[in-house]
Amino acid sequence: MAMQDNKFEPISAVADGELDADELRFLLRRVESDPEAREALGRYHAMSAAVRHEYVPGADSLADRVRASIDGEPAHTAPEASAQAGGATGRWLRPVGGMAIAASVALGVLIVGPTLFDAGNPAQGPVSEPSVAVIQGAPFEGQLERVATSSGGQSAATGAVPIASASLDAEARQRLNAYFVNHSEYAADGQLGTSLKYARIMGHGSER
Amino acid sequence: MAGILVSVMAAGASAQSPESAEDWLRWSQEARSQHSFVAEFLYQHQDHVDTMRIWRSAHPDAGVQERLFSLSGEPREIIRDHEEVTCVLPSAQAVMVDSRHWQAPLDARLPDSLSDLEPHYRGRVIGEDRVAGRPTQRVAILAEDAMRYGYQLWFDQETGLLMRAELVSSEGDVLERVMMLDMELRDGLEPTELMSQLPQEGFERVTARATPSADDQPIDTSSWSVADLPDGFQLHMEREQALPGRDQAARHLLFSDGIATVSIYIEAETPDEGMRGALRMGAMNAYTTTLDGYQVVALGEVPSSTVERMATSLQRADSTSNASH
Amino acid sequence: MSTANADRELVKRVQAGDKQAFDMLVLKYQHKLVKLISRYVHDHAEALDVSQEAFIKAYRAIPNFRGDSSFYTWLYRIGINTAKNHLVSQGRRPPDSDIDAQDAERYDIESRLKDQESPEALAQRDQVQATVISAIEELPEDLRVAITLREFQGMTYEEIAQAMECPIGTVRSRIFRAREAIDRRLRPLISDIGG
Repeated sequence: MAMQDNKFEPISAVADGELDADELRFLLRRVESDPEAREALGRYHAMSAAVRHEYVPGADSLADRVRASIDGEPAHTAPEASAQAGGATGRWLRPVGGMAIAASVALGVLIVGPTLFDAGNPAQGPVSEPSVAVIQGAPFEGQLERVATSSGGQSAATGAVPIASASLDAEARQRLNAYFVNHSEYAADGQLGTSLKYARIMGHGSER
Repeated sequence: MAGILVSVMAAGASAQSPESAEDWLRWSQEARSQHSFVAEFLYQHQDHVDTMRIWRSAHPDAGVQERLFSLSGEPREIIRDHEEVTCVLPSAQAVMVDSRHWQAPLDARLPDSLSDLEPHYRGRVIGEDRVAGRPTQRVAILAEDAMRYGYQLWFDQETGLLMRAELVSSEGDVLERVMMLDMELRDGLEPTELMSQLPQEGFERVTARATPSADDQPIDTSSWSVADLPDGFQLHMEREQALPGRDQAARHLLFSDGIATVSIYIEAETPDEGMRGALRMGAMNAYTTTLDGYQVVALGEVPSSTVERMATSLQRADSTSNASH
Repeated sequence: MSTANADRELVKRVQAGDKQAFDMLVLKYQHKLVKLISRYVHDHAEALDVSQEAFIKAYRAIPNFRGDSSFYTWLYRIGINTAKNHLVSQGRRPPDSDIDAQDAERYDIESRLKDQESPEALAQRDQVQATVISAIEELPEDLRVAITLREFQGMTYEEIAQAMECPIGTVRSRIFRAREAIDRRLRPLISDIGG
């Protein structure tokens, strides 16, 4: 059994999306010109479909029909420089200003909360009184304790109570949001429900 | 066919009926990737309540996918599969797509044993309770000091799914609460249930395709250290972190005590007076300071005094003024 | 590369003018799409026509595909819209809402009962499925494990290499040899059906 036996190995790999860009390029040309290779690829996909109970007799011929139709269609041309950030190295680093703020807003993390504690200006005090959360129509059993309005006490050094990020200007808030979102991705609360992490992100977005 | 799978996937077997807090946590961890459901839940922090609906699909091929949709306030949506997170915010006419950070250096699972977390946390089974009309077991992860928060958790007796979770301070204040109001288990979800239902035409699209290897380089030898690190916290990761809206990457140090995480971001100082001192973002606290021309921000789901302590005791590893680690 | 990344790579090439890259996507998703469209269009031949139309629409629209969702999600939506439009143009009413989980089962059962698919076609499908599964079961262990992790668990080659504690090249080779073995039993069936 000779070299012939392995000739479809890359075909198997491409069915799983496991070729790198160079291998893929080469393989595309091969499948294009070698009907046997193309048929093998079709059968490999059919196997996966069968395993998933998605196999449809006769659907195997669809690719031939589509290919014939598309022969008559114009080929596309590469798009002009798109908004996609930098392609393969896709950095987050977008032009500053509106775009970045829009990004953080899109995450719903722009916090505009009603409370404002600032030890330096005692006259201001809290803008709104903490209240018992009333949940309309929520069928919960047992006691639902009020959720605290201040989290984590005071600064050890100055005795100042933390400032709500709401009081910051838009640019500072946006910077803080960037840290918040990035940190959330790494926070170990994944076990305790990713819902909590995203609920935080979404929950903060509704504050106005 | 089941025979093929069982013989191949001999993963750690879960206890049949969980007894200890640790057993419940492990069982719940597995449940996350085994059950599909649709649920409504509330998210509560301070005097603010949001309700959301979640569609969650756990499928052997496609993995876990989720869609969260806000039922209160502005409509907003987050869709997550194992490749990407997409956030849709119609009120801002923006859609944001980000790659999932699968190379997260911290195992998103809890440590293998709760005893690893001692003496800083202690697990305890509290007792039976009901959530969303279903019998649950309440389990506490208690913080043993005031430098960290604890959790109260309610696990579904039938599936092990987490039905309610609360972040609790050492004084016993509930800082944050997520609680299911209604849950419907499903055999599977239709793809349309995981697709955005919000119209997005004309929206601004922001796409981050950052691959962690290209943008976030792990660092071998740290040039920074935290002199006054609270007990139990360890440095887990340090890397150059690309952040939106910045021209240069920040140095990102990630600490954890096994449950709580604290990030410290170090960047060149910018004239931004608004961000000094202690800040609060919901249940998360942040502290900003400067050091040698750098701006230092520490933040995490820990009390304000903890982030303050860590930020203010940061020093350069080659510092001669303090004993460094 | 994962599946979504691989699809994205192919889409980029299609957008740059490579029609063969689109053919690869069709080969991958043709069964899945026909199955989806069959829920709306019960006649088998008609469903194939509508699926073909959906693929062509996808090809034409692909310059506008920005990758906000996965390729299949996007294709899925085109498939449903094409199917609904087809029903409307035939004077038939599409379902009021897209099929949800409960209805989907009902549609499957109904379509089987109506025998829109000929008994012959149903039998062929069952036979193909059974053949593939029994072929897998008969594989030698290392090939069986590799193909199972790939097809049933959706693991990447890298993940399989870790699970099986072997190099990725070995994983690739095992999966290929597994497929070759399955193919030997499958090929006569598929060519018979005239696929």
